Amino acid sequence: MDCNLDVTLLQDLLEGIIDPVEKLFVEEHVKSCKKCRKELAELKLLFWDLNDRSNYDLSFPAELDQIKGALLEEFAEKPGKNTTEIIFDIQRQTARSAGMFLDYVPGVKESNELVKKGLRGAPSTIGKVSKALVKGTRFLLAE
Amino acid sequence: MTGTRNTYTPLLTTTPAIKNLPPQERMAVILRHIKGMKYEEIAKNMELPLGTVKTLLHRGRKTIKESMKKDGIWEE
Repeated sequence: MDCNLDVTLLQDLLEGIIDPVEKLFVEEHVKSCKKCRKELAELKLLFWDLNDRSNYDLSFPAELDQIKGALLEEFAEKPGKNTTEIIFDIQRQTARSAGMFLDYVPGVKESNELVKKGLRGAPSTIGKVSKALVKGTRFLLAE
Repeated sequence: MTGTRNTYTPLLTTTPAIKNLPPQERMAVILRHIKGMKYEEIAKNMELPLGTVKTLLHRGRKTIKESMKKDGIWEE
């Protein structure tokens, strides 16, 4: 016997989410339809089996603890570092990230080289100035 | 294990069938039947409309049943 009942209605009936009017219709239909009665019986067994948690192995694998330990070690602070060192590390990291944009500013490399050259020449300039000062002082003292 | 007409071997029969489901159907079936979530909770968890969750569950259960018949757990 062919029937056109939507099988999903049988599932909804078992789940208790069927519309009340449809429920009456389905229950009446099942009484007279052998095929749907069989389908409903099979679905009941399936639901019973699916909902029986003893059917599933829900224990966690033994490797999980090892993975957890490895991850914790990776993210945890390395031993031997005190609070000051950690703070300095964070500050250093922050300063480094804050200055990263300078790598992309045009002319920064050239100006860095100029500053370096200036610093290299600075001692001789200071020496010359101090020598002049000494000379000037001697001159003043002599007079 | 094959049985007579409509006989049924419940222990561990659904697990392989669940594993072979498409990912979304498998997730919906697991959340509904193993974790015991309500339809609304599944929809929220999977970020899908309620109707889609119902469809996934209908289709998933149908596939599981067909797979069990194919494996001889249920005989036609």
